[in-house]
Amino acid sequence: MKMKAGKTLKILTTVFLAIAAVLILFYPRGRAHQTRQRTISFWSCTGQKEEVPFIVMAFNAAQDSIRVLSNAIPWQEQEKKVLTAILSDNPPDAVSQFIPIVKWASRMALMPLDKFIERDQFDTTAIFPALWQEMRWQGHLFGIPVSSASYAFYYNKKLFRQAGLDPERPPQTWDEVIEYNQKLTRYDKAGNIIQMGFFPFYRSSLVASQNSPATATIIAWEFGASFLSADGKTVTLINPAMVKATQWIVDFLKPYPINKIEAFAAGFGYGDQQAFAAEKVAMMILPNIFPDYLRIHAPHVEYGIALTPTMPGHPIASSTGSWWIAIPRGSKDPEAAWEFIKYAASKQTQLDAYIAMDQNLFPANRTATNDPLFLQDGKMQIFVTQLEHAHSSTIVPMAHDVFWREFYTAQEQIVYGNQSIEQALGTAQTIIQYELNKALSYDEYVRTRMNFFDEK
Amino acid sequence: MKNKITRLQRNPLQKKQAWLGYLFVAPWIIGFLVFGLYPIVMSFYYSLCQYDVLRVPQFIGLGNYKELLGHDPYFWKSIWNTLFFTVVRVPLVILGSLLLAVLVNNAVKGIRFFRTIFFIPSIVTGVVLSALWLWLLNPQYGLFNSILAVFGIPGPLWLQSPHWSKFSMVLMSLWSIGGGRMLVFLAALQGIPTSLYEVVDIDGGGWWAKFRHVTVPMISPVIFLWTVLEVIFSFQVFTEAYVMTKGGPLNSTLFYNLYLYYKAFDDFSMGYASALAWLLLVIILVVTLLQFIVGKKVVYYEGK
Repeated sequence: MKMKAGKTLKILTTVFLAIAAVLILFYPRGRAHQTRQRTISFWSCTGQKEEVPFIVMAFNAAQDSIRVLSNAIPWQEQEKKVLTAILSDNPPDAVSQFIPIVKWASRMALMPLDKFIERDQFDTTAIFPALWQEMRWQGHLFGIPVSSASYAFYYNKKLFRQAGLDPERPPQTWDEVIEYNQKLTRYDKAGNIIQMGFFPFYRSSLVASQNSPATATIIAWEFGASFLSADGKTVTLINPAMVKATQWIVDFLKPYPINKIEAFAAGFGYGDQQAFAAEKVAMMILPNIFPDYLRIHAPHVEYGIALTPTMPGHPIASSTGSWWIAIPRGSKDPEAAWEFIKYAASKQTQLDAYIAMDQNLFPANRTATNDPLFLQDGKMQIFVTQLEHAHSSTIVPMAHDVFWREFYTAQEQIVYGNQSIEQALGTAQTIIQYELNKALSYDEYVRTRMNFFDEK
Repeated sequence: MKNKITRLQRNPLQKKQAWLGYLFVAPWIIGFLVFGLYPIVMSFYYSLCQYDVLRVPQFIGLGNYKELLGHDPYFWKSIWNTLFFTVVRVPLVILGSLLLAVLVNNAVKGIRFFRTIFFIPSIVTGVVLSALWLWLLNPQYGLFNSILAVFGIPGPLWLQSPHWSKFSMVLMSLWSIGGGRMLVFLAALQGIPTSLYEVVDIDGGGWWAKFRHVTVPMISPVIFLWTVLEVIFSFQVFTEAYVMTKGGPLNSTLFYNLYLYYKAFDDFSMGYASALAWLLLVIILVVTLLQFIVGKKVVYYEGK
C-alpha cells in the first residue's frame, strides 16, 4: 500500500513539473507576435479625470505605424512602480511625471535625449525657459515638458466689495497686499480669525491641499534671489533677497498671534474646504487649473485673476513646475517613444489637449500659448506672462525634498519667533548643503563604477 | 513511542516522503527566503552603504550609524517624540482596555450589545480615522473644542501646537481601546474561576480587593503580553502623523518611522533609511528584553 502511494505521488510530481516547464518555456510573451505596427507602452499618472490621456488617444488616431498602450497609475504609486520596472530591466518605453526630473535623471533612470533633439532639430526655444531648465542635468537633456502649471494672483471680488475695496483693482505691490489684508481680515465674537485677506504660510502639511506656492520664494525671486550656485554645488538659501522676503512675511503676520493663525489655518482642507474656495482667504496665488477647480467645488465664488504683486522697482516673479515625458533607461523602442514625445510636445497637440482637458493642462510650448485661439480668453495672457517670469520650484534638484522640508521648518521657526531669520535660514542651509554634498560625492563614486552617458 | 525514528534509522521510503514534505512546504520556504530573509540580509548590507536603489551601492562602513548617532538632529528629535508617545500611550491604552473589559464582563442585560458598541470604533482604519480626527480636533470647528466652549473653557490647538500635538495623537489612539485588546482581556477575565472571588467574599473583601488580588494577578500574563506588543506598536507609529501633520508643527510629531519614511521614499537615501530601521530593531529589542526581565518578577503564571 505504502509503495503504491509513493509511486502515485512521484508520477503526480513529474506531471506537475512537466506542465510547469512547458508553461515557462512557451508562455506567450508580449512582443512575440510580429505585426507591422510597433507597440510601445506609456505610463502616466491618473489625474482627476482621464484614464487614457488625451495625447495617447490623439496620437493613436493620427497615425498607423506606432500604437501607444497607456497605463495610468495612481501618482502616489507611480514613482515606485517605474523605478522598480527600470531596475528589473522591464521599463515602459515612455513615462510621464511631474516630480523633479533630476530626481530620476541623476539616478540614471532616464535616457538622455540630446541625440534625438539634435538629429530632429527639435525647437528648444519653443518651450518656456523655466520648464526647459528643469530638464537639464549634467549638461544633458532628459525629458520634454508637455504641460505645466502657471500661477497667478486670484482674488475674491465679493469679499473685496464687502470690505469696501474696488473689485476691479487688485493689489499691485506687496505693501498693498498688507494694506488690503487689514481690511479683509475678519474676526468672530471670541476674537478668532474667520477670514483673512492673504495668507503667506502654507507649509508642508498644507501644500498638497492648498495648491499655493511658497510666498517667500516668489518675493525673493522678485528681488533677484538665487538659491544655488551656477555649478549646482553651493546652496545659498540665506541671501539678502531671501532675508528681505522672509522679513515681509514676518511683518505681515506680526499683528496676529501665532495661535490665532494656527487655529485659522487648521480649517483649510481639500475640495470646497480649500481656503480660497471656502472664501476664508480673499487673495491667493493659485495655478491655472483653478477656474476649473472652482467651477467644480465652489461655483459661487466670484473671482478675478491678476499678475502677482511686486516689490516697488522689481519685476514680477512666479513659480512653476512641468509635466514631462521621458524615455526610461532600457526602453525597448526609444525611437518610437521619441516620435510620441515629439507629437505630444507639438503646438497643435498642446492646443487640442488644452481644450480637450477643460483647460487644465497649461501648454509648455510657447508657440501654442501665443496662438490667438489660446489668447482669446483674456485671462490667458496673464498666465502666459506669469510663466515667462516663472522660476522652477525644483530649486536644489539633488536634494529637492530636503530643501523644501528644511525651508518650511525654517519658516515655522521664524514665524513662531523661536529663531531669527538669519539663524533659521542658516541652519536650514547647513543641512541642505550637507545632504547635497553627500549626494554629489555618491554621484562621483557612481560615475567611476557605472558608465551610463557613453552607453550606445 | 515504539515508532520513534531517528535520522539514521530512516529507510529509503521515509526519505522519499521527507523529500515530498519539503516539496509541499517549498512555496513557503522559497517565499520566505526570497521575500523575507533576502531583503533582511540586504537591508543590513545597505545600511553600511550609500545607496539609492537604482545605482550601485557605495560601501561606507559604519558611516550611516555614526552620522545618525553623532550629528543628525532629527534622529534624536524623532527618538524623543516616539518615546514620549510610547510612554504616555501604553499605560493609558492598557488601563483603558482593561477597565472596559472589566465593565463588559458584567452580567448586565444586553451586554452583547455593549460589547459590540465598544468594539465598533476599532474597525475604522488608520487613514480614515486620521482624516476624521483632523476635524474632531479642529480648534475652531471641532467637536472637542465646541464641547469645551460650552463650559467656558478655551480649547487648545490640539494638532497645531507643538506642546499639544503628541498628546493629541495619544488621545486619538485611545479611540480603539475597545478593539481586539479588550476582547483578549475579556476572554482572560472569563477564565478566572469564580471560586477565587468567593474566597474574597468569605474573607470580607470588597470589589477593590477582588480586582487587586484576584483579577490582576490571574490575567497578568495577558496584560504583560499586550504591554510588550503595545510598546512595539507605539514605536512604529506612523500613519497619524503622516496624514495629519506631516511631522509638524516644529517637528513635534516627527516620529521615528515618519523620519525613516522621508529618508527612504522622499530622499531615496535607502542606505541611511536601512540604518534607521536596524537601529529601531535594536531599540525595540532592548526595550522588550528589559520588559521581560521586569516581567519575570511581576507576572504570575498559574502553571508554574
